[in-house]
Amino acid sequence: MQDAYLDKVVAGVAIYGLGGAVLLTMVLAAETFIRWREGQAPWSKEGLNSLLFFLLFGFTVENVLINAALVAALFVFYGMSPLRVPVTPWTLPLYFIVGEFAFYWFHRVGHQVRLFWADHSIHHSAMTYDFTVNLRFVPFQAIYRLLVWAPLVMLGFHPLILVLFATTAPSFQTFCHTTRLGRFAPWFEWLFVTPCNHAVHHACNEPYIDKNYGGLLMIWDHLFGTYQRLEDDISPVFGITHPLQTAHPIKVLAHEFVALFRDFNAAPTLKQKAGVLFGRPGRTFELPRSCIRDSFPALSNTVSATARE
Amino acid sequence: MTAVNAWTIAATAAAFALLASFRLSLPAREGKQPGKILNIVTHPAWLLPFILVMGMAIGLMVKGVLSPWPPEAAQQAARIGGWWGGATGFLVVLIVDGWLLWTGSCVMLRFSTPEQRRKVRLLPVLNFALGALFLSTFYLMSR
Repeated sequence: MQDAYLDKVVAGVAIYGLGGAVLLTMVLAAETFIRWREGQAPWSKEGLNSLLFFLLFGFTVENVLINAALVAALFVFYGMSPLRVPVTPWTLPLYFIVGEFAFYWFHRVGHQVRLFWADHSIHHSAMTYDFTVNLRFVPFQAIYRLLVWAPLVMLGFHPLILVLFATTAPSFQTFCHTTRLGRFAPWFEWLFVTPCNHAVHHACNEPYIDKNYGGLLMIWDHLFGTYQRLEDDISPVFGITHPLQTAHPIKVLAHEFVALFRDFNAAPTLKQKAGVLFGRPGRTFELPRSCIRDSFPALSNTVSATARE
Repeated sequence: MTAVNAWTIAATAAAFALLASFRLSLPAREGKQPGKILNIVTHPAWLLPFILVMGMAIGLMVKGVLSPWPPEAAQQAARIGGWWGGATGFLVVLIVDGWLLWTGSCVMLRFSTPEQRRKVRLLPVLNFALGALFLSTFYLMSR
């Protein structure tokens, strides 16, 4: 009975994913069309990079292989726990809310732990903010998803349903990576991830930086104090605090890992080395970014004169 | 007509969602606040379930399980949910078709920033062309 219902839920989410793919195709076509109307190249270099990352890490790789490995790994933790939250029509709303919670914390950890930010910063490295940023997948997020979601499956939440809910509901963000849409109704802006709310998330200037981690709903941001509305008088600056000066895909993928490696090596004490790995970006031991030019000449043009230093 | 059941609620909610879609689909209504009752009946909040329903319905169309032609979808849904199920299927597919062909671009026009407005005004043409392409493909797949 439980397994039959489980199969139905899995099939349902897969069908939802198919529908999402059609809608994603339509918004990408809209983006291409509008860029053409604006007299720009239909796809920017950043957009093409995002497409490449989608083909490399998104598409079937993440959606099938990586998530399958993630679910398998979570089942190990699930097996260690005696607790079980059954999968029934009555518990699905709970799974939905917990899926949002799981997304919120995995996303927050991706921003606030430097080791994981090295990966997640790839998604944020685009200086433009349009529908193509949807495609900017990153390679290692399953690792920090595993770490953050393992405690939840040990509370008894079924790994497969948790992963499906936590990764599928945020697909609503497909419509949010754009500056072409203005503010929606206030109640909608308060409750949901919207283009304005998510623009805040992609901004690297105060007061927006490290805010609005929600997937579909903003409730966990309100609860944990990370909600920030888009202010009329402060424009968001998109990208990262150390902006890339290149569109070379390997440099885009490696830029933050290189800085991490360099800082880890240079950190004088074990405590500082640990801080480099697990501390908050911008608050750990850090050499001036200009040092990268000397240490890694091949990556020299990934670093500007640094926005913050 | 059959007895009232859960499908009756679904069909009623879908009817309100259809009215909300109509309201968003009429560029001439932009900026005009309807009367109190009309505002409730056509409020965009009725579309909230469609965050889930839209993806599901399109996914079912991609799989060839659900026809994008509302009368056929009604017949398919009636086999599961009776008369009210059929009514729900009809309304849901009508709404999804509307969004794939027209409403999506109207929402984009309505909420676009003033400086973007001129650049996106031809979007409904693309919306209609792409939507028609998808829907005709889905229709052939469902045959």
